[in-house]
Amino acid sequence: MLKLHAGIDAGSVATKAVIIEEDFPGTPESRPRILTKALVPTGADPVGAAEKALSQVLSQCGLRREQLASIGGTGYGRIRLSGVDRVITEITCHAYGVHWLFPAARTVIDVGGQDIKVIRTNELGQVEDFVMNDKCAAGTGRFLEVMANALGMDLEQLARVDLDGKAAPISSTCTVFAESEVISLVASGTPTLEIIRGLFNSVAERIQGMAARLIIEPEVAMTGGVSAIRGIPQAIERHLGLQVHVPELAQFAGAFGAALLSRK
Amino acid sequence: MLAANLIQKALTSGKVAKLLRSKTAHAVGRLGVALSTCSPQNAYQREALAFVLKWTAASFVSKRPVVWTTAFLPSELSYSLNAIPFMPELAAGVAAVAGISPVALTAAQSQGYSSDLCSFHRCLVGLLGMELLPRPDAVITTNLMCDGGYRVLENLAAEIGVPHYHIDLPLGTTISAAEEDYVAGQLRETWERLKAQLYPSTLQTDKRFWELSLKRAMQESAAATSYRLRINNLRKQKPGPWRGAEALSYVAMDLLAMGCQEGTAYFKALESSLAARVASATPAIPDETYRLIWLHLRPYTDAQLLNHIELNWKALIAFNDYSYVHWAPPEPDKPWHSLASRMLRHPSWGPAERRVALVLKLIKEYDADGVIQFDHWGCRQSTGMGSLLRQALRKNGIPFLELDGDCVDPRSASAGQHRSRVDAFMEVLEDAKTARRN
Repeated sequence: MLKLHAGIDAGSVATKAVIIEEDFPGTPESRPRILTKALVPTGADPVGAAEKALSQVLSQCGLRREQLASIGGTGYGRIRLSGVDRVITEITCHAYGVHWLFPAARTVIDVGGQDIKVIRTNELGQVEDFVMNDKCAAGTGRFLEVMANALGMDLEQLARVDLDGKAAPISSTCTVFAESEVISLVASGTPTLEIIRGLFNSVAERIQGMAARLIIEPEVAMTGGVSAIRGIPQAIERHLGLQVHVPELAQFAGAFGAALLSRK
Repeated sequence: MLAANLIQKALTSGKVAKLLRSKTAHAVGRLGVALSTCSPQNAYQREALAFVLKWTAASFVSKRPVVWTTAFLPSELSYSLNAIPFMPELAAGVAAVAGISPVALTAAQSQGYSSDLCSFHRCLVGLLGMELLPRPDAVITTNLMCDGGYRVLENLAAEIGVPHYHIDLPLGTTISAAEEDYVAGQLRETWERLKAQLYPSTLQTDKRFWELSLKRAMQESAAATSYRLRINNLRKQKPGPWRGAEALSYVAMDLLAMGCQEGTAYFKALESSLAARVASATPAIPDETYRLIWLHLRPYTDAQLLNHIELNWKALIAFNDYSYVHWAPPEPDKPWHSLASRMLRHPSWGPAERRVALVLKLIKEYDADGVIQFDHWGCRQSTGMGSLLRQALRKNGIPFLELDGDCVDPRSASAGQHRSRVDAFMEVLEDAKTARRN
């Protein structure tokens, strides 16, 4: 019997929701897949954003909430979500979500709005070890937003830049200091593309430093909103010396994991 | 919230500074404890409170000498000279629990102390400025585990204008007899010099009196050590008899209560309480599901974190490394070598392998499912070796969480971030347990 489950990832910048369907639940033949997805800005109201994201995915499938077998919640706003059957941390959800999106992954790098997580997983998608950034938002989506702003650009424009080419040195990983470096580089006439590549390297350096606290194992997969800025996974690849895979629907890995884990 | 605000206001307005120096206030406090009743299973709490009140009163209002020391200096040194050991770093922890550490930290910064300095030490500087610490007659430091504390106390001794003594510990990979002699010699010499400073009119004929006093302190220390060994054995029971959240708050007693009758009474009461709980099968937490080893100190500004771990996740913090007894009961006739050996053999001193070996031993003895190390900002001796520990634990299949935070400064850490990390770690333990069951 076909079962439908929802997952909500209440992130700091964006709230994501998915509905998954599963044939042969509870059997080895089970192949859950994302039926539909939605992304809404979290803003100052994570609970409202979660409701909105869930309403969107339900309406896209023409479903009512009662038709869902279960709902899982994750993300920084997870504790405040109501009407969910299971609340799980984003670390576990990303690991599990990636396991189904890219089963060969043994290391997951998730870079979201204000968090960086490096997660080592086993062959079942379970977390073996993890590290997260502490206090400092350097290298996160928020960091890139500030830098894009300093360059008079938006994140979509940043996302189209490739790493190949000359990169300006950005010595600081601190958001405030890096912003002032960027402003100085702009003032000194450094080409914008070089500054952007320098920023990509600075983010990759920070992630490399965090990853060094774990023992990184291939294959490496990247998730989260920042994975869509193609220069970042490219820079991480060079810094780690390992290929970094960005699975399709990488930004929804957390919501997917929440939906999958809500079945338990 | 209102109560917390009132306490903070009283502490910062100077009223508490006055109360601390009021004989009447201390008498009322001690009478209150004497009249209070508690069940035999919690008798140690009253002993601990009586201990704290007695020595606080003695520090602030009596004429007994007060000796400031760094946290890992054996308290026997002071008790044997009828002096009161006062550890300002512990006072910083108390200030954090009381919610006034931010005020003290800001005050320290305005006195020119860099924010890069450990918050325990910045906090104690601020507390001194707020007149919340007793004035010392002397300061004794050691570099055991912490260089920052020794430098700060040395600096404060000069500022206050009291003598400073220092016990230098060599950082060797092995412990030789020469090293033990070196440390024992410094302890003996410091004791003699402190005695001469505190009691300048002491006659040669009093020598026997002080030797006996030293012997008594070491006998108390030996008795306390025996109780502590039994306490640590009782904590191995499943389900565990003592909550880690409370044990981590009583680490101060482990540091401060060695070598005096009142301290021994506390350890004795704690041993009896835990034995009674074990005998009556009274678990520390209901439905104990996981057992953890906690390394280093607890965040004193966030009581909820440990409650969340122990009560919501049913994960008992079965043991904490700073309560471990790594020494044999001291020989009262060999005081200096007993104390030197204890200091030199501290598991967090010397090569990192020593601490790694201890953690692996604790996991086995306490049947722990995982290990959490609280990485306090500024405590390099534990944070610096996190990676070695992680590798060793990984090799043994033990989940490990390094929780970056600050024991004293609530502004330096986010409760939400801690909770996310703890929840994710507990999910790892949950998966591991499920896998074992299947």
